[in-house]
Amino acid sequence: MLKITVHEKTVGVFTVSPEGSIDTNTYTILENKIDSLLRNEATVIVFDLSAVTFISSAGIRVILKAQKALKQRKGKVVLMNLQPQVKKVFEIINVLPSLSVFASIEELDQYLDHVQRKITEKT
Amino acid sequence: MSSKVILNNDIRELQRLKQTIVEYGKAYQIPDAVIQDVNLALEEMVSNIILHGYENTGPHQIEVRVKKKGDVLFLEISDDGKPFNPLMVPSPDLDTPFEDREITGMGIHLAKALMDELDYRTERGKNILMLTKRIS
Repeated sequence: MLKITVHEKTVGVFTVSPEGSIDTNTYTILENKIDSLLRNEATVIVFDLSAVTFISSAGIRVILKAQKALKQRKGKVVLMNLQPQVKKVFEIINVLPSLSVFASIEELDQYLDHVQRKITEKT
Repeated sequence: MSSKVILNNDIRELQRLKQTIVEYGKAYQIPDAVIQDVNLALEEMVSNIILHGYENTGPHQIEVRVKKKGDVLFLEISDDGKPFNPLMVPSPDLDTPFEDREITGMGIHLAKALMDELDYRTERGKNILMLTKRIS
């Protein structure tokens, strides 16, 4: 089972909180949500994985697709709250060096403030 | 000491497979972390068979046996799909940045990393993959 909550933090920055197992049977639920965010001009997608108990390569591929699409528009994928089993999977595939991982919401907010300032400075 | 589950070639069957392994783990007091690793390796290998193993869409059966011997868990997957040795699949290039990688080969790589040993053989026209996982 997989439930997904999406929250728009600021313009273009979305927090996606899946709950349950992201596997061969459920990954399309996440993929459809991500596709709609990408159509919706998302630039940063934050995956809050605190309630994800299991992830398979099918789930990792969805995050990979999101990272590819966001990088093209100078955005990125951010990961938060990886549980031990999920973290292990990311480590085996050596994904973490290419992604931004934050330990807490405060750390994430600081990062987003920084991005926001950079955008404001440019305009 | 051993348990067997016969699955149809339908990815919805993976849930039943996971449940069988969880119940086996409970019955023999196998740590949850081991069961999670085993379930992920099985999901990767069995979904591969269901999604890519057959040339026709007709019904097929995949048999998974689990057996604990001392502190080692043996899992045998047997299918009548195309002959396919997953151990021959090249490892993904893990040094390339994630977003520039090909998206194939990750599942098999995960199974190899999570298990202690993988052995493949064919027997009477069937693919037989044996996964070995130490419990302690």
